[in-house]
Amino acid sequence: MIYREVTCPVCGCGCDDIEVEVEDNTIKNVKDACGIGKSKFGEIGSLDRVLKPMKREGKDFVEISWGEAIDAAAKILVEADHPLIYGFSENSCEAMKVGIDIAERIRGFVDSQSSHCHGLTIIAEQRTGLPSCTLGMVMNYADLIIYWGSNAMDSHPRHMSRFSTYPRGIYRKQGRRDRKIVVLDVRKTCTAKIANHFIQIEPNKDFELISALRIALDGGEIKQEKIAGVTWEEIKKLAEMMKNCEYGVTFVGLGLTHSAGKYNNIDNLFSLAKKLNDYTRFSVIPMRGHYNVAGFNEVMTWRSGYPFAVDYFRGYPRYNPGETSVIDMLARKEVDAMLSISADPGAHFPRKCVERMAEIPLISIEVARTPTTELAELIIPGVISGMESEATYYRLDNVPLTAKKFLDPPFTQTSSDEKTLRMIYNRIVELQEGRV
Amino acid sequence: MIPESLQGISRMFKIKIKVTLDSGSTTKQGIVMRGGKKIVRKDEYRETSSICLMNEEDMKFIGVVESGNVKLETDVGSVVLKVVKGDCPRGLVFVPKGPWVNSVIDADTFESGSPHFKGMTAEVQATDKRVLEVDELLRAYKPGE
Repeated sequence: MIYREVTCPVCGCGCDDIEVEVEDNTIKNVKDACGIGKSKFGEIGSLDRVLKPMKREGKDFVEISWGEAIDAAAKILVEADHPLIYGFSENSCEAMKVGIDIAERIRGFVDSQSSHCHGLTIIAEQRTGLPSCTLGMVMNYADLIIYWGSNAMDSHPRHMSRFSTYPRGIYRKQGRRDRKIVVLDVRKTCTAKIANHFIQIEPNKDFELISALRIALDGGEIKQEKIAGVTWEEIKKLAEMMKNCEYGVTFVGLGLTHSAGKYNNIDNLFSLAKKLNDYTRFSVIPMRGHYNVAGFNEVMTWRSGYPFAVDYFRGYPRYNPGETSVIDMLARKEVDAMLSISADPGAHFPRKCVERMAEIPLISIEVARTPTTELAELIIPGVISGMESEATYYRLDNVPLTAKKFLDPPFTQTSSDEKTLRMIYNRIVELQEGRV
Repeated sequence: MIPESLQGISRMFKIKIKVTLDSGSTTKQGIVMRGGKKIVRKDEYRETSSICLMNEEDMKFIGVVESGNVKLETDVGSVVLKVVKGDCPRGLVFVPKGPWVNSVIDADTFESGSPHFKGMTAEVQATDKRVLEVDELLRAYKPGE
């Protein structure tokens, strides 16, 4: 059977035009997805797929029943003083809600990948406000596209072809020929190679360059020959290009949040976009990495009032990035048990954090074996949201969409990660109320 | 330009250079990561994630050829990576995100929540040591197992 308009649950683009051919509950062919997307569809039948719950015994893992796994996970979380619930960026919004319920119930701490990715963009949004638009508006209106600190060709392979560079829009009928593409990065990336203009910045100097652009817009002068490795003439040229475009959009990547200046870089960029709106229409869109990382910020905000890095230890939500964020909490060894869902912190956290994860009881809900499962005490099979279970997700421009299910998970004990988390939640309630 | 004759000497004296470390996504690595192949296809994961993109002049300066190995060292620790000639300016190296590069990334977030995954200062030198597999890296975290 052929399923059309299937969603790809990989990056923030959330492409919903994929065609999948399914035969005997296995995928035979995938059309229109990028290389990474096709690989994700292949994860369904991965040789590394976790099919049964497992518990660590010495060097090896032994298979246990689903009942035992849910009970063991609930016990680890209930017995801990300051447990951490982490992940969710590849889960449905429905699963996130249950995960947050668990954190609130056990007075734990909850965070997602957004904390160490575009969480800093959210902090800047809280300070300055987000001058944004949807990807549909980019496609139909924008004539100047800027990728700042973002290598879209590698991280979001279909972003340029679906939304920003090549598609024909209502007012951009000639597609690529109607648009100018500018890339600002520290190295000449694949994205830079197909841009009209590439501006190479010195590492950790984005803040200076944005400030210089703001000065150039105001008609000011700088005596210094080069700012952040870019000549003053080139900066003035870029400022003019921004001022004179009909509709400009900056896609901001992790190059700004992961380097020196952190959220101040983004804050400055938002201020620049606000300033540009005096002359023309200008927006900024963060290049969110995972397909539902923006959804976590939405769900967390309506549940607690805060977008990420929330600590329920005192019985009420507390938010202070830098103190209650996942990297800091693990590095300071404040976390004494951890549940990781659809994330691989074992591969993507700095050494000090992974060292702490290896010391504490770690529960990993994963689709396939990863460095995190290899460090875990308990592994519970995960269900792929958007493929094996229906999901509500938020695209990188914060537009909520629904991903359809087209396959059944390879086990019958659960039908979604939401249900798995609900089982853990119910067991936690039983343990806390003495109904053992 | 660094003369060919001096490259062997750079290697012999293990000349180090200071670089800015940049880590991030690549498509090749994304295909392995998203396909659930990190453990079962550990050789593919190693080949796509334990590489170090360097400027050609920097490679000559420390005396390393393409596919040779380098030791990347920061205040946190060191890791061995395979060199690939890349479009990096002098003084910048790019390593795809993953357990190799993260073993030398500092967890200090400067009270922001996010570490310096890009922009950390590091030192690079040629080495004869081999690149570790993902399970060998993990064993360093859980030595008792």
